[in-house]
Amino acid sequence: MLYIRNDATDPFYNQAFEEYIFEHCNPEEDILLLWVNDPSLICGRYQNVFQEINMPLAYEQSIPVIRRNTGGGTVYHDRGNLNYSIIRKRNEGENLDYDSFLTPVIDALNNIGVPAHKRNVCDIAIDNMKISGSAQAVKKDRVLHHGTLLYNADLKNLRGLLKPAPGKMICKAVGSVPSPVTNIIEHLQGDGYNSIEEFKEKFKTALMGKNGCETAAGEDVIAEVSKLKEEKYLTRQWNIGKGPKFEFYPENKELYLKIEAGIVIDSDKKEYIGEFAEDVFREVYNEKNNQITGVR
Amino acid sequence: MKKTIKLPELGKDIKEYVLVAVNKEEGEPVEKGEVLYEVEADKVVNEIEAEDSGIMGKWLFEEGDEILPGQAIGEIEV
Repeated sequence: MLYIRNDATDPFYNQAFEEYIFEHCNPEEDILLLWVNDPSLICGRYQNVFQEINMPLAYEQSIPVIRRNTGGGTVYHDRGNLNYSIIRKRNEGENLDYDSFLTPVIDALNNIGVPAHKRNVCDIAIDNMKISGSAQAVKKDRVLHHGTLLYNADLKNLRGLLKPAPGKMICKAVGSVPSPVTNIIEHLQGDGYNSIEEFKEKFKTALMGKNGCETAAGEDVIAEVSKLKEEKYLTRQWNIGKGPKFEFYPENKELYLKIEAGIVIDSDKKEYIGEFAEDVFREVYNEKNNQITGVR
Repeated sequence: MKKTIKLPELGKDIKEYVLVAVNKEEGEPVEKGEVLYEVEADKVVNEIEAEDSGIMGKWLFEEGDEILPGQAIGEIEV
């Protein structure tokens, strides 16, 4: 297994980094990525961010909202959450295969003092409280499996942000499944760790074993990743526009909005038609903060 | 010649998928091997490539619809 070091904490860059490695890495090699993001909300491939995220609170805290390429629900990241990605060849004729990824991850956690166990199809839990969710993308004969590891994340913020905007939503999106969560740091056996960095290093060593090797992205890769970040992950066309169409009646606002590809296509307030949904939401909620879903 | 695009069998455990993206509109040229559409089930997104080059015809479903393996979901003029 090849570990590709990435110490960036910019969530837009890190989404691009993962996608670039998935697209361009040696198809014969198993790849491991580990990274920590600044506070951010990462939604699934076909989710309606307005249905999943407490947007007024996200605006208030200037927490970016970014769409990823894998399925499933929205997750909250911050400096207390360790993300892992495993990229490898897909077994012939096999589609749904979480166990071959989760089993070594759980073994590694157990080996470094985390009493983790599998829960449901693709979660990891301690005492039946979730510490990790995972999702996948399949491209040709390669699979990207990634997951979160709540080490000492701000769970109050997580719970506050992962709530829909109040009102009635009509939408065919893939929904999130809320679960009770806990932080790994609350359950460590043994001496524990001084920081998430130390936890990351121990987890990496336990997961890779003796046959792993390590590298870092070169300047050329960093330049390509930065380009992908600018062209895709920093755009509202991706972060908002690639979600499903929906209708929304915000609570206590006497307003109807029909949104498609991130644009308001119908509303009882004609001045909103043709506007970006996010701009309208910001106006409806009287938010003056910077755009959090991209710059164009 | 018009050819039907069918959702392939992607795994033995999955009965139903959500169509999460169609990347070609009716009338657009399609190259064999391009990612034509994406489906999701159990938090797994699969990119499905075009099996033929041609001109994209009608989609029989829209994004957000549930589709079954083997089901005809679109047409391509090859």
